[in-house]
Amino acid sequence: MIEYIIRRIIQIVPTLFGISFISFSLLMLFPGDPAEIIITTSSGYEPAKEIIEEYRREIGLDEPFIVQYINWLKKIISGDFGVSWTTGEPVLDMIAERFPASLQLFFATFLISAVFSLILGIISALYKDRALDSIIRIFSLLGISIPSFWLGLILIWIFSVKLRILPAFGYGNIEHIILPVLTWSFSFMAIKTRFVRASLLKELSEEYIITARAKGLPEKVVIIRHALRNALIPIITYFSLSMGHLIVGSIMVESVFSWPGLGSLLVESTIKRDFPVVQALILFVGVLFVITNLLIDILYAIIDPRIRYGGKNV
Amino acid sequence: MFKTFSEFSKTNFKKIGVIFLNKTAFIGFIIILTITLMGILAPLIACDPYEADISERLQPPSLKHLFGTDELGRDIFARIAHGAKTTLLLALTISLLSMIIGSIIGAISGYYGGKIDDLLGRIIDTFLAIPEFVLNIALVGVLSAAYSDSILNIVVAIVLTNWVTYARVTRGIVMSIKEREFILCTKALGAGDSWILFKHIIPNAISPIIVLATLNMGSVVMTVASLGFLGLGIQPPTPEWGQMLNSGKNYITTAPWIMFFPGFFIAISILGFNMLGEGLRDVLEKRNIKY
Repeated sequence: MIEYIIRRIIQIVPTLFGISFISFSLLMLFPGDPAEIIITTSSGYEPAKEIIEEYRREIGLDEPFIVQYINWLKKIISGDFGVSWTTGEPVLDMIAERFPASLQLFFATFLISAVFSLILGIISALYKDRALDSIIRIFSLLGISIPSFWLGLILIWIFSVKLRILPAFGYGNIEHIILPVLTWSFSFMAIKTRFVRASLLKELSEEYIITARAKGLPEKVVIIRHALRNALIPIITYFSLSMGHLIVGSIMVESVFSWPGLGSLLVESTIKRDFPVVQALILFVGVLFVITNLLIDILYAIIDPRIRYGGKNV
Repeated sequence: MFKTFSEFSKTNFKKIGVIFLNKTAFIGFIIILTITLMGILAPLIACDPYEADISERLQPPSLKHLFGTDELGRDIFARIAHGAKTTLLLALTISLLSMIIGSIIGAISGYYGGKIDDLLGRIIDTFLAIPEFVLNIALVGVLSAAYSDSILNIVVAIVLTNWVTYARVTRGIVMSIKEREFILCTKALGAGDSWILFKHIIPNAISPIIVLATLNMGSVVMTVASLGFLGLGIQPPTPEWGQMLNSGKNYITTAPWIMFFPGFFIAISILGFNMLGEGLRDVLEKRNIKY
């Protein structure tokens, strides 16, 4: 068991390096001079050339690329993500401040869409190729096709402009979260419903299902007691995998509803060209994804010994 | 398995002809065709999308302005029709470039295996760890600080992340084909790499890649529109749906049609590509189970 965990941890090291490399080289692509920007924002006036030169040397901008990368990596590992170019605030504080809002939005959406997609997916598989299945499939096709930012605006128009029963934006109260969650759940649910349906149908084509049917079990028992149990493994994996990416929130939904999460922080920082924040966010999302996946894998290895010995993911 | 390329193309074109038998693919095809025609015929069917007339601003839909006018008094139908051209050309360019780059890299990696494949596997893992759209936003941000051509910036920013999808799929297909026995037989008969590639691997890989590319067009339309909505996409005055939606959201109480129509066309185009792609998948891959 411990051997498996160590092997998995070693496997993620190159990916972590890759993420840090992408995130670092992004700033290298930036055409402006970071030293100049930092001095200008902290002091409020255009600095003299000598001061910039001195500062460049001080923060190591005259070093070769690889040296700069290693120095940057050392800082990151010690928890120093640098400061914002626009406010001078530590980047890590900005992320910590915005994270709870994203987390709230994610978990509310996740909970609602997980429940509904399971129900809809099962119904769809039960009534395969009949009217109810067609309706659910059209519904999920719309869910993956309709952009969340448009749906969000339509919901604002209906509930905030016309009916005046829900606020269009804001944060803090329960009524503020309803529209963002509704918007996000629509697409979230669509993808998951399709996955539930597909996994269930795949399971239904297995041979043990023929046995169960041959035994004379009613179709509903075959599906719910036999197929669903086995289909749950890939379904749970799939649901938990989505956590890694979406835990930082939905960029589009946050920006429609001015939700103060990490998604809108990313957009604001990009527009303001505050690249240390953008860089840190990329690193944050990437590392979070890798770690979530690692935890899920380890959890599975504990539950299912086949994974531990086979060394493969489900 | 196909013996010659001509046999392969005949079979595949026959299969593609089945679009007309598959309902989903057919509806998707009609939607895409309509929007394409709208984009091509825009100069004929719509008036000037740049002409602003302040006396006509924020007009609701009428016979004169089919979809109403925006905050500068420009005709929304004209901007949507011209926007169709922007969106479809961008989606086509980005998907094609990603397809070429991604399939070549994926095929090399899958076919030769070994160290090249290890390295590529790591790169793909890294890209999968960071959400594509987060990288798109960051790249557009950096590129727009350096270059003022917003169209080129968007193409580069999306292709830089989008090729990975094609590389991953192609790599998988190539790996599974090269493991099959008939490839070993061909090799034993003295066939070289290029023979195997052109006679066996490409013909077998092409239908899944066509399906992938169709679905990918839809997601590129979504990405382009999302960037436009965030104010990071194609810059005004060039008409682009996402950007129109972005300016329309400020008039949601007084002139909801400004945000309604661009959004509707974004949704319907993505729907079209998804339906066509999924229909094609059912037809080309002849699955027993319909997903």
